[in-house]
Amino acid sequence: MRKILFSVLCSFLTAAASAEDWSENSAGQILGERIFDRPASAGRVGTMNFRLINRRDRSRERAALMAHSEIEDTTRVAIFFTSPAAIQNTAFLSHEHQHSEDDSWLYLPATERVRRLPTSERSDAFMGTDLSYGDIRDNFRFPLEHWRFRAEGPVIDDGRELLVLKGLARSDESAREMGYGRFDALVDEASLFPVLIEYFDVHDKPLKRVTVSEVTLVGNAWTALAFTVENHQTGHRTEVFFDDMRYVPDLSDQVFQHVALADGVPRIQ
Amino acid sequence: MSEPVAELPRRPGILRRTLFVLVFTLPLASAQAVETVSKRIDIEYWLGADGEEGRIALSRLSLRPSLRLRAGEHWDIDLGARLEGAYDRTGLGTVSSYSPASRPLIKEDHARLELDRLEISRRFGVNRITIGKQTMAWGVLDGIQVTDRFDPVRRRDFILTEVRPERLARWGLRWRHDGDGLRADFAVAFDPTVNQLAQEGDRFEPLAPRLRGGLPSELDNSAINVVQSERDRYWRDATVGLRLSHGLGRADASMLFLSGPDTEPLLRLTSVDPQQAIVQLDYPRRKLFGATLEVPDGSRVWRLELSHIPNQPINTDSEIPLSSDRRGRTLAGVGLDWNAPRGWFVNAQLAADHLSSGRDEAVRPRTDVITTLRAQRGFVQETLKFRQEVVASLSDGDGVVRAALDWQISDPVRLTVGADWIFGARDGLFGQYRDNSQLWLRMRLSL
Repeated sequence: MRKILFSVLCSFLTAAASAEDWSENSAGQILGERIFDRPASAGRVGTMNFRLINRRDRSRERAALMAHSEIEDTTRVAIFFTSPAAIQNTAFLSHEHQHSEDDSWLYLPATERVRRLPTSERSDAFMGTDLSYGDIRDNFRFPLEHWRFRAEGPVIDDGRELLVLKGLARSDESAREMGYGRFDALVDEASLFPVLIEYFDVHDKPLKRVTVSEVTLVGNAWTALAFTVENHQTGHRTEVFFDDMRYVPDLSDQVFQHVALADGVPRIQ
Repeated sequence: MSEPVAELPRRPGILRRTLFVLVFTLPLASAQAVETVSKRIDIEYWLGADGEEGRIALSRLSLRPSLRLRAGEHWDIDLGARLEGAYDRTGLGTVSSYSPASRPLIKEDHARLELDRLEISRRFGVNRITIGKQTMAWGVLDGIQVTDRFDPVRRRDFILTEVRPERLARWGLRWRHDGDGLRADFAVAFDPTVNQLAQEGDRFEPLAPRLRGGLPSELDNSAINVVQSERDRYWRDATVGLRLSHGLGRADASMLFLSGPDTEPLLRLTSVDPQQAIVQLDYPRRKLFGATLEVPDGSRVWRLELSHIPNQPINTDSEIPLSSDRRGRTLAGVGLDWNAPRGWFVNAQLAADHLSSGRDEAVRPRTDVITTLRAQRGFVQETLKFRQEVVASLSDGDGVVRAALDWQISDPVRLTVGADWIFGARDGLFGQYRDNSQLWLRMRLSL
């Protein structure tokens, strides 16, 4: 039932506007800013499960311990893969800075070395998933420097009122950088969390649908516990869900040191 | 040349190693809980065929179990082993280059069981001490060893390995300090194991005069007996190293020093018999001073390495065969990683290896210049990966072109097919193996 409703809503959203007849409004700008300013958690830890499904419905699964911290202008994400065996002990770390270039490192057990990675394009796929590095970085927010916003009348889904927010890339350069030209989203007003986002590519062709099926408060921050990303152009999709997500406000800096990646999954109390 | 044979064919010291393991394991027996962090078994089959004749030239099956355990709040244990079997011409490499403590537990003509790793670590706040059989992956370039010269490496497959270099773990002790600013890494390997070479008749037996002390490859090998003294001077032939690292803005810089036996052999004539000459492989000590720098620059990362060895032992070309000398040796390398458009990843490197002048010419060129260029890209949610690589010596004018396609068939199963085309003159670093161009296939099962 929920899927049908979403399909109807999506049809409504996609039919309502295209890039040509687009105009921003102040209600949209305010909503975009409120989403952007949503409280972040100082530290959280959980087991991240990925399911990568190709167009023939064959799936591959990944599990990793994820540690996440947002303090001031820096978001730090450490991912330690625990399965399948082929990628066990592979670890990825990124330090994303609001006002400067990001830093990221990768540890591959075969090379026995922690390697600094060149900054990825925001639009590059994140480790074979249908998420982009930008999606990981933005954490279901829409960067104000890249988007102009327009709000439209709310819609009712399953008895719940959802706000409609649309975004258009501020410039061709922003669109190229993100890989998205515009988006249409449904936002839960209580949590300020998007529950559905339809992204369009730089040529205004439908690109991705992000469906958030479960959110919860971790500390004082709303956090997605389950979501799906479907790529309309490749036919692939990635399902992500978290187990044992918990708030760890005093997450040790050591977890986010690149040299510690080689030591494997960290001990976190 | 006949294969290097250890002069003292002693038992490989299974008892000593078992005791070693027990001593390491005892502290853990008192730990409250031992938890398995990860366990894995890789089974890999590598099959290769001669590029021209199409006959099987490579056939090696390996089984590599590894285990990571955690005991209590502070202890970590890493274990890894490899069981390998190989077809005649492929070979498993020399064993005489290993110290008795590191030698394979089972050593048959076509099969080996080797302890790859056995390390136990304890964390003390920002300090970590590791004892056991371990590696020190120092340096920032890919496969080009400018400062990355602590560990001996496997040379049995030349450079045509999946990961370069293939390090050999040695018994020793390591202390790491990860402070806020300065990071220190101090290591001592009480284990004189040196580079593993291909044996005589193996596919990548050294043929170029520069790797044979200047002896030409046409020389009648039956007239030469190559021996290697037992690598059992654990204290006198220990390798010691210290690396200090620090951030410089967003860049990372390090300085390092190491002292230990050279891991590449120096050939010495020990007796000239009318029937058979005896050539000994020596590994004299040398020191190395080095520095590295890693600088991120948007979609690029620059890597720089510099090292100086003031007393590098080398074979020289003089009237007396296999004469030797010590020279200053300076190595420098620059590398670039680039996240290119459309999902391509490009890695390019250039390195120079220069010897100071002396009375006699060295058997190798005074300056070696090596370049590598690799481009790779993943497709279909990274289940297909294409990799193209060129590794070439600009000084010898030879090299190898490698292409590979990797298919992750399912989570545990991976299939890789590739081709290596080796070109150049027969006395060159790469050209010596020009007849070994190959098509190959690797099948890996990870459980």
